[in-house]
Amino acid sequence: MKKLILILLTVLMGVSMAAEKKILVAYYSRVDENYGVGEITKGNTEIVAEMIAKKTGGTLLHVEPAKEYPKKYDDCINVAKKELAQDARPAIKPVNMNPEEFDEIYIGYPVWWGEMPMPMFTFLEKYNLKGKTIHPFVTHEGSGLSGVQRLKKVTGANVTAGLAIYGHVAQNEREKAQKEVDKWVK
Amino acid sequence: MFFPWAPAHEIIGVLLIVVWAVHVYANRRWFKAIFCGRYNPYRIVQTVVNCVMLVCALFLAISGVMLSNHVFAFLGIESGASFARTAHLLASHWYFVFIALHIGLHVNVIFSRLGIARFIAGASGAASSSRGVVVVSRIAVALASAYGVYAFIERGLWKYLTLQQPFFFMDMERGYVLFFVDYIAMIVAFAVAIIFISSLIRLRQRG
Ligand SMILES: Cc1cc2nc3c(=O)[nH]c(=O)nc-3n(C[C@H](O)[C@H](O)[C@H](O)COP(=O)(O)O)c2cc1C
Repeated sequence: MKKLILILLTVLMGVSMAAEKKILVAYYSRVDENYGVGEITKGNTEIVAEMIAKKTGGTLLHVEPAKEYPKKYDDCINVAKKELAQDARPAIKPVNMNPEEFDEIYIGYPVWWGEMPMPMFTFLEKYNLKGKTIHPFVTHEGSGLSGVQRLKKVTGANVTAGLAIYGHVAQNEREKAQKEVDKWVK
Repeated sequence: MFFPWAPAHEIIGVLLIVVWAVHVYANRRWFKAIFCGRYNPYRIVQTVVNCVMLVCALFLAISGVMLSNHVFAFLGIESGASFARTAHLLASHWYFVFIALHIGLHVNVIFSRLGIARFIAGASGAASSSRGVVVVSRIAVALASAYGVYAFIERGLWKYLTLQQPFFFMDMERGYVLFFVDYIAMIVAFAVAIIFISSLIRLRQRG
């Protein structure tokens, strides 16, 4: 009997410790006009980020650039290109939590010019995420999982196999997107 | 984009423009003769192919300069990226197909310059072994073409040609080596196709 209680206790402790694993879902996502989806009020990546947070019980963190990007896709792509060319670090709005305090971090972004949008670099470089586990997820319109190499380099984290979902699927076919998320999040 | 070292894309692009300029200059007589003489079906095909290539090359070069983040960054071009991006993607893929056709139309010249024709024709002198070389090389070309057709479908090249795929996908699971193997096989397939078509045209011209 004593043994049984002991086993039960250890199992319970194990379960509660696993539940205490702190998970962060940090992402950047842009509203307004975008490729293949028209004018949107909720970003494609944000939709996926919320699905992941719900599934993992993680905390959502929306990384926001201090200065908004142009609303028109054609203008935004010009600005994004210039920032990439200059390897810029656009200022971001203050963040009220510390990613270093989390055990596992999901990092999400839209693929821009085959890379992470530059505000993600600003965000990631603020913290020491070396050796942490990062699960990358992206939305895109054809390039697939991109920008992960630089994500690895800039964080020094242990970056796992990522998830890539088409932006228009996240926006307009949510059940399909949900299925892809469910398959990926374990 | 899609290069381990970002400026590589632009440097290779500039080198290719230089090679292109030298090639066009060396063959300037062809351009001068464009309005001279009679046009038979074969010459029409050749002219169409070359003209499409010229348009592609111009769009590719101009959009490349506009998209440059390193080599031409000093020009300070800050707009038109959306147009240039689409133009670069379309022009590069159509150019690729037409370069393959161009190679096919000039395969005799290329082979004789490289001494390959002589190698196949005169391999070791003996007639039987020379025929062996011909048969083996035909089988190799047939296999390469078949694989090229497979690669064309597998990589969804038609999607780029028709803008169904608006952003380039570098399949890292297939990697860089297979990238080259696949694209070279596609060139072989298109070249073989146009060789067949043009020999049919020539047959009809004679007959
Ligand atoms: C500036 C910019 C650059 C983009 N570059 C790419 C790209 O290189 N490859 C790609 O597949 N999609 C590209 N896209 C499309 C976005 O990745 C896609 O629309 C994404 O789902 C947007 O997510 P969001 O709504 O969360 O911002 C680009 C979009 C923008 C606005």
